[in-house]
Amino acid sequence: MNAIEIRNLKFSYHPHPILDISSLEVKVGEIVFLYGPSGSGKSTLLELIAGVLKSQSGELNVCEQDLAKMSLADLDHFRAENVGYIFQSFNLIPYLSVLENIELPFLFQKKEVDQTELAKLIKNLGLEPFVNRPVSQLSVGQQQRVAVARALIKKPKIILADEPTSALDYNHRENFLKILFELCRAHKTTVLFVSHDLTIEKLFDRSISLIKVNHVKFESPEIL
Amino acid sequence: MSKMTWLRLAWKSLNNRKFSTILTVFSMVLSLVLLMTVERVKRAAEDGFTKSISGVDLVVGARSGPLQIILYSVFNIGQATQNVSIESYDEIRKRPEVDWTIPYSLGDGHKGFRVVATNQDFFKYYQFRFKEKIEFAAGDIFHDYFDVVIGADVAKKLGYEVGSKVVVSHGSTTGVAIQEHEDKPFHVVGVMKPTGTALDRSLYISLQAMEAIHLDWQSGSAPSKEKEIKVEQITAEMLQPKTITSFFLRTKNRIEILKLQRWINEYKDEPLLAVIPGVVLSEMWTSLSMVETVLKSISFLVMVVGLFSMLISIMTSLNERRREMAVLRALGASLKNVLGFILVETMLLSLSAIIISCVFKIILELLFGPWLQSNYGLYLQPPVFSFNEVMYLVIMLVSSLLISFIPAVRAMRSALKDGLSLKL
Repeated sequence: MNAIEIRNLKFSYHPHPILDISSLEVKVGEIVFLYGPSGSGKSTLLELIAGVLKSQSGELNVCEQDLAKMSLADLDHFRAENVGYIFQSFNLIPYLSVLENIELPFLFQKKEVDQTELAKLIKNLGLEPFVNRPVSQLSVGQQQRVAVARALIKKPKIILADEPTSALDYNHRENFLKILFELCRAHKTTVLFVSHDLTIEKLFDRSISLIKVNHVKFESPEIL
Repeated sequence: MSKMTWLRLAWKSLNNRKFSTILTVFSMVLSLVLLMTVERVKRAAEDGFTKSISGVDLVVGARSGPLQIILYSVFNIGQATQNVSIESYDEIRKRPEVDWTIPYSLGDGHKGFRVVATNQDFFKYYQFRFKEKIEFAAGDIFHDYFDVVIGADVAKKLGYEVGSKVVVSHGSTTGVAIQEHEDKPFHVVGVMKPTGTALDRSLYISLQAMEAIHLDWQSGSAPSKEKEIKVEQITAEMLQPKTITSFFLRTKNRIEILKLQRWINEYKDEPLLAVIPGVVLSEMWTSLSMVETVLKSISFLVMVVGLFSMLISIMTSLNERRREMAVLRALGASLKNVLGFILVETMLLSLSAIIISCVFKIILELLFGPWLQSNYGLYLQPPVFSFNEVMYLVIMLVSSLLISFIPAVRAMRSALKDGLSLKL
């Protein structure tokens, strides 16, 4: 079973074509490394899969839902239900505490916070000492762990990560990924991890080069 | 921990920008307080003016202009050109439809204040504002010929109290007296409580006393020493007034007013004029309302400034909050949520401005109410919030919400453009 299925997906910011992917598949529970230099359309692809952007042509099935046929409001709903998103940096709302940041996804869902799950997650990520602190007092590494907790708390089917390790040094990077993958494997969560940093490629189940699957010849990063 | 809501999120977000939030709310509060203060003072001034007298159906004087009769009878401004004979007064007073009358005889003064000769009915029937009657801060009404009751301002400015000696000046109501009734001094027997009307700036003596001090006067000049009539020589008959300046009249049944007014205006023996005070007072206030319009326009401009400062503060915060919006979008916020978020924020801003300004207004009124009353004769009558003032609050709330659509739509657009990967 596939978590992501892409057929002939095309997307352009007029008049610049950004993506033209004839086929791309990610299996459920797979932890995939999507490699590509900046300007190769990584972020655009992630936004399409997250349902922030609406696809223009082709097929885009995520978690067995056809995103191409969904309205913007449905896409927002789909994202709230199924997608956990981890940014490169500035993942957190600065004026909320660690706990409030983690619970924030429930603002967009009718579900209640599962307190035992929350406590377990906080413990696994080693965030116990910080839960009531303002996030501004946390180190970058700690902040990224809070971001992971927030992405996982609603038990999404898929985690999309946009270079979340680029602000971390090598040791922290490996450690961070280890924790992330452990938690995702435990929940059979699919991970699509985007980065231009090939040093971490070996930690993933599979790696895809976006340049190879994207038929748009990427020119200069300035376009994006 | 309670579940996060949009309201809580907006509150925390505003709290995070505490300084600019406080400044914004402060400027909105200032504009609202100014607007409501102008309205309140205007209301008090209008009440003080149009309600200088109440419960009186007609004011009757010698035929001149309606405005003039009101000015000299109610506001103690200006002079009557003609008097009303006591015979005409008695005839009207005794008509069946008349409930009561208060005669007024004017012409003398005391150190810039007007001396009004009247009778005890004045204290019994005179009403101002909302059917309030004359009350005494000290002493009581006059009984003897040379008793005088003084208004609150007179007592305060001249430092008089019960027992003080008062010499009435002839023919002068303002400024320096030319001739004084030194031979017949009065004694203060009563000090009235402040009323916020012309009553506070007047002295009240009996009609008989007015006659008494003028007994020996001939053709408007003081008597020589040998012609002076001593107080002991005065008899009751000598003091029967022959004329009065004007009188207030109350009918038994309001239906009679217009009929009686017409009857008086067509009175054969003497040219008289009866006016309905409420009508004339309202007309006068309308002609004075230029000032009110100017004040109101200024206040509205201040309100616009307050709204704009809110707009500017939200607009400038938007750029630094694009990250925040992207995070919310990633978590599932729709563009409508982003729009609503800004609207909720604005609502919080203007609601707190409204609440704070109301508290401010009430405190200001409690603090300065007595001062306004004693220094300017402005009475802050209930209700605390008039319809107009509530409307200003509603206008503020609605227009701030309308204006906030500008930053809200902008935030929505930039959230759409930014998506999740913000390129700053």
